[in-house]
Amino acid sequence: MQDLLSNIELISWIFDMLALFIFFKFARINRVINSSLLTMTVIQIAGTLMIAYEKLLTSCIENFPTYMSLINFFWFAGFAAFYVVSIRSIRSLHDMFHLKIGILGKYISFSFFVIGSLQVFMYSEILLFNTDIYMGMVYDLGVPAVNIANTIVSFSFAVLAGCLLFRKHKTLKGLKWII
Amino acid sequence: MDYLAFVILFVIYGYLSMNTWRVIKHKRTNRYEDDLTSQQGEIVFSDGDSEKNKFAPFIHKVKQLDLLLASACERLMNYEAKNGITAQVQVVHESRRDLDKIESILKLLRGQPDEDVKQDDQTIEKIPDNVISLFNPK
Repeated sequence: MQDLLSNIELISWIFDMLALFIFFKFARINRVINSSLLTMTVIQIAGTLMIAYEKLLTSCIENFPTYMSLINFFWFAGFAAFYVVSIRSIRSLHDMFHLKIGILGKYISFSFFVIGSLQVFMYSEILLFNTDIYMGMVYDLGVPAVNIANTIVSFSFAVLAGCLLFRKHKTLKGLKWII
Repeated sequence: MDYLAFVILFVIYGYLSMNTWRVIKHKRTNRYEDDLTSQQGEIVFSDGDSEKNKFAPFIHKVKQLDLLLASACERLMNYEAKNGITAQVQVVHESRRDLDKIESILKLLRGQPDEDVKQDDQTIEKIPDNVISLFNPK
């Protein structure tokens, strides 16, 4: 189950890229930057940085196994910090462009909060009880599951944006507020 | 050392919770308080009166131009008793695309519809003939 989720999570970036492209097209045609485009841009940049950070830490685990406690700290605290910066970036970008944060932005921020909380609780268990029996399974399944859910939701929003473009704002005009 | 890690982690968690709460309770910032740009519009009336408006970054420029024009129209209606008074709307801008959009809206407002401009962009009914628009590309 865990392997399946991890594999799905790996290919979900293709759908994230597609969603970003559709939102970009939507913004370009309407000549207005929307909340979803800003949110997807933050997701893509944060995702890329986190993959690089994960690879760096994985190589550290292989090369310096004696510093495992320090690597653990940088793993959990680092990823939690990435989520803080991502949420903060979403808010700052919306403030900069004087936009209201849309449903997608709020959903993604909340999901980042959930994953960040998982990081904190997992590390707390490792620190306090020196084990990962309780949070281990939740962490291993929860993080990919939330990431996959994020991709499904953002891609669905992108499909809606595509439909709005295709229908030229007539029949689906009432749904424009979601984007 | 573990205590320090624990404290750092919960400081991060505090920031995470605070930022998430702020995102959920987020409200749009007031675009008129923005000082990021020096772009501005100005209405100069032929009797020497004038009014300046500062423009927010590019995405709301067109809406602010509408407000500027609406303001000019309102002032002209007040001057209705005095004949021959005109208003000159001067817009300083950076982007050629914005200029095209503004010109298209002006055409639409003056009753010369442009294919590129959607009906949604029309926020004021009609610009009086004595409002002259002047654009100053940088």
